Amino acid sequence: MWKWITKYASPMHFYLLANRLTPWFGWSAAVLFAVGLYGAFFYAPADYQQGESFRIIYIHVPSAWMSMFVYMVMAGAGAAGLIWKTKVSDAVARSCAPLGASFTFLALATGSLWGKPMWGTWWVWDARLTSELILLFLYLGYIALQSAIDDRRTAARAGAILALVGVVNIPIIHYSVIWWNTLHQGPTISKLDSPSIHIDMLIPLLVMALAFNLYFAAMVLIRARMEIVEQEKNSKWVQELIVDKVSV
Amino acid sequence: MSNIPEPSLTVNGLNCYRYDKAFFRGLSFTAGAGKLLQIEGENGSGKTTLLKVLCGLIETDEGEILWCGKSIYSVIDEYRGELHYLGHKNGIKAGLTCLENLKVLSALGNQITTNAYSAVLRRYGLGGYDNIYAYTLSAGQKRRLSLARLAVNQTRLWILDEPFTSLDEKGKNDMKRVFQDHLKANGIILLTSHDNIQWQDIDVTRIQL
Amino acid sequence: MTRVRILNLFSTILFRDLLLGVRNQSELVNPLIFFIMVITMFPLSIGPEQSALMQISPAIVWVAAVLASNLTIDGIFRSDYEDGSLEQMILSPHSGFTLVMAKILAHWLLAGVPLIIMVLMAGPFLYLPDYALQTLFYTLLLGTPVLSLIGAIAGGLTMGVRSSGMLQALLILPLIMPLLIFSVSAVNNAMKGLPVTGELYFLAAILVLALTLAPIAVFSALKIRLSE
Repeated sequence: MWKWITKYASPMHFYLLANRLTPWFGWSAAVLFAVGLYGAFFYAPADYQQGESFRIIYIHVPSAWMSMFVYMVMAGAGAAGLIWKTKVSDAVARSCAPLGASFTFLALATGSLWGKPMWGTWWVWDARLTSELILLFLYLGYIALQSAIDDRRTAARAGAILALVGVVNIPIIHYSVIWWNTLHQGPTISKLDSPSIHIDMLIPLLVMALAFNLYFAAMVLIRARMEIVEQEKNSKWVQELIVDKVSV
Repeated sequence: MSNIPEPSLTVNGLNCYRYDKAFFRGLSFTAGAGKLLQIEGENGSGKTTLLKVLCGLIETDEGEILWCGKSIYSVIDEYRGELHYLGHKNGIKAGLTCLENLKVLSALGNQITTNAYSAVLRRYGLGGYDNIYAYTLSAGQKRRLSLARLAVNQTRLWILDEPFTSLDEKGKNDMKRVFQDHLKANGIILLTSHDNIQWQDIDVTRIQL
Repeated sequence: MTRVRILNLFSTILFRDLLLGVRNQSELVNPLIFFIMVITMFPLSIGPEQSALMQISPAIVWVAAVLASNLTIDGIFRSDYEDGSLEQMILSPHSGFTLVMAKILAHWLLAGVPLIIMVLMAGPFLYLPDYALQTLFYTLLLGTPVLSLIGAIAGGLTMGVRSSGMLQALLILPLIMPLLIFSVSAVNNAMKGLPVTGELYFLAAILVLALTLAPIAVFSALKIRLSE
């Protein structure tokens, strides 16, 4: 088992593995997206309170879940890079940031779209939206730090420290925002989490969540592959790879 | 002090990549007690990087560095107590006086050899500058001040990056005497320099990068 | 023996930084002037009515304090990085924890403490009642060290980088939101005559957490950035 792990921690083997896995993840994500969206629009019944506009949760909720999950993956990969000094985990961590930021942005944008018919305004300082916004700031800080440091390896390791500090902070931020929210508004709107969601509504949601995960896996592998080729561009295997591609 | 083994720094198969570029590959050498090694190479050949790797600022990609037969990473605190590193930057604060600078630097080290800071400053050609702010010093004087810490803490391994930068002839001769004393006391010196060091009574081993 | 050396190192670095800070007065005073200027902008933009100002004064004071302390973060490691003294410190055989703590404590004494004094002086300008001012003092006492600790992480990560000041603000501000929430809410409660111990305990807990974890992060950040 350990041998297997160390094998794929080498950039070349990871590259080749990622190359093989990407289409599987990509296509299954596409199929599940199709199924999930069909279910979201035609299978799930309209909400008796919110009508048709509730259907945006099929984008909003999975992207909100992903925004958190991707940050954890990023910090985990960063920690692995700090501990075992594996180049692959650096590449994975760096690839996560723009994806996570996009999911966070998507969650905010869909939340705001949903808010317009529900609350009559584009933005409400609701606890979830606010902590999602702060999460977006965390991602943007990470990306800004990455682009400010020239040396790729230093940038990855500095980013890993920042991501780990963020992981310690996220629960504190999250609960302090919830606390702040209840303090100022009272427990009024518990947005988007109906206590008992109907099973016909739930199934498409879970399908969409799975599709988002697979999409993320495919994208992170593509990005990490590019990172690895870039960072290993002077090594023999990358040179051979490029020659092969050019000569074919 | 007699039970302390002779100092030796051994480098085995050291590889280093910076900014995705290979600097040196398969570098091996040994520096024993009383040896002065000059690392030579063109600009950008990785001399400074090598020195930083040797003092543990940059971790190695491949290869090993042994201090008295043990990997420096396993004995890093002891190793750093045995080490003086002087980089491109002098490591002195412009807003402190010469004396204050020396005191701070000595607190960072392990074994303080002397508290007679004024005498040290005199020996390094900064006599009477005790209470002068470092920002008023010339480039050469700043270099002297940062070299003066060699006398304040006792260490056996000196890693010096271009120690003669901005020093005048007299300064270089002063340093030569300091180096001689250090080598006689079984110390090791690793340095980079653009000058081709030719000193009659000091044996210089050259390492080409 | 080693304990004596470590204490000696701690006090030497602390004293060194305090000396440098006191000698470089503009860096000490400028953030305070900035703080007062930010405070002044609010009555000028909202209007001088006592009731309106009183209601948001805790928020104003804390936001201004956060912004002012952000301005001081760049100084914590940058000059040491540029002149090479940080390299010498990291290469010291003594514990990096000692060094980092000494530097952070020096930063708090030079930037945090004057800010606290300044805030207390600014209180009457914003019509803060005494009890609220007292609570504000406690929140600052617990909060400004956290600003220094988290600021040091950002300062360490960004030293020597282009436009590091801006970047530091981007890194620090999201991390200190909880601080802002609990502090301002404590002062607001005090103004309403409600108990504030809950918030103060939260702030104390955040301070303890930052004190334990931040120095490790700072030291790793310094090591990483110096390995360039």
